[in-house]
Amino acid sequence: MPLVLIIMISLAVAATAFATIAATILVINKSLNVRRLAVHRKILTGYSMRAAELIIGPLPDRIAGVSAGRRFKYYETLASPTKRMHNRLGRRIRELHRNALKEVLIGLARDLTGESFERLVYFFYSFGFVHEEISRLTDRRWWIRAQAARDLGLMRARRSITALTAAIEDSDADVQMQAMQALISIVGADALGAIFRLARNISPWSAIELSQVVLRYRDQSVPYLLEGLRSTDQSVVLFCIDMLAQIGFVSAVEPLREMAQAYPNVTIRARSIVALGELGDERAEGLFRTELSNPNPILRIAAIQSLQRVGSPAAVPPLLERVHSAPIQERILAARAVASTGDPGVEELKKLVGGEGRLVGKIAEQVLEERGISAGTRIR
Amino acid sequence: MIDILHAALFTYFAFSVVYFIAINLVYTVLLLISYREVQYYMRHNSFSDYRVMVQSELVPPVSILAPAYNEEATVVESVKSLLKLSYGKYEVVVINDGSRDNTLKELVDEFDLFASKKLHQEMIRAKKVRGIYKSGLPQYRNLIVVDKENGGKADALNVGINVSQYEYVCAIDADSLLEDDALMKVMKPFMEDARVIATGGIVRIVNGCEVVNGRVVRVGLSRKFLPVFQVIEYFRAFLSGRMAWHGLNGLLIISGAFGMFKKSAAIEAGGYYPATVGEDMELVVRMHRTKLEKREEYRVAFVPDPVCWTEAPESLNGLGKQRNRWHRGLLDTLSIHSDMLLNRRYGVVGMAAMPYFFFVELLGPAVEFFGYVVVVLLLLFGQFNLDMLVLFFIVAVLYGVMFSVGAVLLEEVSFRRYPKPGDLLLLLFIGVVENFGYRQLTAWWRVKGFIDYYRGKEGWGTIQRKGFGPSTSGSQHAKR
Amino acid sequence: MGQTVLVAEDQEHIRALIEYKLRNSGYTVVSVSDGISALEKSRELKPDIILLDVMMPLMTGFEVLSALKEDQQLKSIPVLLVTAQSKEDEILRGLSMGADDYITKPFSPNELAARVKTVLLRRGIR
Repeated sequence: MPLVLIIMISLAVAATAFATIAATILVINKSLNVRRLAVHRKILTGYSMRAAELIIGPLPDRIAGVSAGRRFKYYETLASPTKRMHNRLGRRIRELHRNALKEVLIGLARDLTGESFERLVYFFYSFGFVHEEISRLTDRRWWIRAQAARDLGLMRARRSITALTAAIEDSDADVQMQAMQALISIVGADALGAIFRLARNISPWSAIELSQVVLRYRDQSVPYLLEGLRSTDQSVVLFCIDMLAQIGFVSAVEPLREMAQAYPNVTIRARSIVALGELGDERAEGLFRTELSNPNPILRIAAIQSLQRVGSPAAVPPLLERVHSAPIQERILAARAVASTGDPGVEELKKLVGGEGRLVGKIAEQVLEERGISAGTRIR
Repeated sequence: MIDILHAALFTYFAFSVVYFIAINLVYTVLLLISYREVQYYMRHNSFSDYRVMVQSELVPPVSILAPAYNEEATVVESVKSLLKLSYGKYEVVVINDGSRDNTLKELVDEFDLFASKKLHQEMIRAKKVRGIYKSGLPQYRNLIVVDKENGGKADALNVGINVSQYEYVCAIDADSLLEDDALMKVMKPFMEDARVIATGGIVRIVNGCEVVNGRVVRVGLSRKFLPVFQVIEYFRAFLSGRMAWHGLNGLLIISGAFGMFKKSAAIEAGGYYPATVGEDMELVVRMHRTKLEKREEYRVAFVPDPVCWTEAPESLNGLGKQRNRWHRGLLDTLSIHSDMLLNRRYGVVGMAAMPYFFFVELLGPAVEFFGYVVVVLLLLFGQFNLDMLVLFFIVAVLYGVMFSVGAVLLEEVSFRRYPKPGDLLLLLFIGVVENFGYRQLTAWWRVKGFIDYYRGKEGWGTIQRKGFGPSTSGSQHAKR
Repeated sequence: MGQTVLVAEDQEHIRALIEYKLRNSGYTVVSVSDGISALEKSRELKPDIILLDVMMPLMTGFEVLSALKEDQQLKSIPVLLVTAQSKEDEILRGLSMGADDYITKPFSPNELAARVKTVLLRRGIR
């Protein structure tokens, strides 16, 4: 019996200790946090104002047009009071201040252009932020590395290009992604060459994040995207296909057509077919029609989608064939493609309504309704 | 005779001590795993800008399935706020489950609905669809209303799956209040890992929060006690329970209030099972089962972001009914899939998650409840060491408090949705108080769920064996 | 001049910057950080021009804009939209809802001040 007693007492002691310690820490930490947040807010507000002066205080006329060197000297005179102030502070408080200043400046970098932006970049170097973040790129903790990559991009730190390029092959996906985005924001479309060469296994989520960046450069990115089609990594190839389709550049048609016909991987073939449809390439129409009878449903559906995009009346007969004999989802897609060819297709569908084959008629009815055409019956 | 009884009672007491120690060990392990997972999530998530993502047209389109049964008062508002979410491309499928009030008419009038000729394929067998409606107003083109015969929530969701056109379906309760970027947040795991077949997010209690225009603008705690008790309970269940099971890929519950599924995987598993009150858990368990039996790799993910707010019952009666139903649902799911329990073929699910739900979640309340009974009996028989008893109770309370504190701690290192230190103090205080009364009450409600389940077994048992036959009735909707 | 500009922008550093720039250009500046207060302040102050960020908490810039245009007393106040999206349809949507001009982020503070000036001048002539 005493053994059970001892066990229970020790359990009680352990639980009490944990609960009280955790609870105390929690409450103290929470109120400290609230205070810390208030302090941080205050410092941040201070720096928001100070930064406004630093960044858009009018440039003296004598400096406005002249060499960058003269301008930089002037910027340094703007920065030095803040630096002197920082040097007077204790180490921990200084960190707080520097972080607040960095946060404010980075926030501004996102939204500013012109001469104000030049000043910002100067301050990033001058206050030592760039140097600091480059050394963080090799930190042991992945999130510190990812943050460093992100911040370097926002600071447009050209000096970090080599380090960031290396980070594309980092072991962590977040670091890779942040490094790619940072490189693009520093170098522009020219960073894409290295990115498509080095990137591996881009998830659909990352691909969307990356696409938002790539789309900013549109035509400039096309040569790199074309090169990326030759990557050995499937995700990179798919990404490049999608981007080429979205950007819509003529020189993409030829390589895409080759891939649509001969690429060993079905997913990539299908995506190339869809991309050709997006590009609205008429010469590829023959290809789409052939693929309509491909035994692989992925390719058939891609072909139907593309024909819908192109909307050419010549495709109506083979599409109608699909409407009559295919799995139901495919039939509906085919009927939509028929409708998108305009009047001739719509007339064909109207003929199907109420005709032979109940299902075919219903499909036609649904598709006509989607296009806002009543098939003889009243819609409202 | 008395001696034997006394010995039996004492053995039970000793058993519950051992059980108690084991259970707390399990909780501790889960809490530690959760802590690691939440921390990873917070860091990982800080590198995604949802504002940018919602603008993209490349995100996979989603069908929201919102079953409605006798909701005439609120249905229009709910649907309107669903139509305002920020997400690339999505449709809202409202399923009117044979309401006896004016739910359908309200919708028809407000959204100018017309009878559509849209086809739907019965991929999952369900009750008859009476009509499909679409809106004549251009701004509501992504709204579809399905009118069907009454068949319960599971059946309504199955019809929703049949009618929906996109590959991802999001099942919600009609009264769920979604955060603006909720869809994006639960879609993210699918887009990061093609093996993911289902995701769920944290459901929070809206009582005490300020809601403007269908959005929660200020988070706070209710002035009433009952909802605050539930806040702590939800913290424990979601943050320290489900997050840990996510880490182990053994997440068995995705709340019916908000969950996203890959449609093909849900259909592959056979869709919702209409003859159970725990249709949300049952589907997830069956999806695990289907994938495990086919030996395919898959993941069921949990998003620890608070994405959905729900109204908690404020009356004892309502809460009791809810807990009773939850427990019956749990029991039903576990008995339907009892062959998975401790079956090595089902990996983590069979060897860890199912046993956890069976021994801890299902039996825990019963063990506790009978513990109280036995203690009372032992005291009546006298000659029992009262000190020991008091000591045990104190230990039990302390551990209850400890895990509540742990859960609050998790919230504090992650989302910090409760801005005031006062709120935190109140939550901790409630974590202590709930051990005196509330805890016993919930244990009783669950035991009552047990009893009700076995009393009603005849009726349900036959339906179970029939497979996907007609379900019991629409009474399953009477949930609030 | 002394004309009043209401600045609605949720990011503090940008707000401070805009405020600073416009004050230096001689305007009286009042700023708020969310959509609802933007609407309240407009009713209260009847500013000469409103600078409206599209992405704001509580009420988006578009929602504020449409509320402004539905209000008889406020609908004549010129609105300059500040949008983070350089997406054409967003801009067109803003203009069709009655915004007088727009500026996309990233922007140059000098340009912003110039836009405010032209919008006010244009209004002054009519």
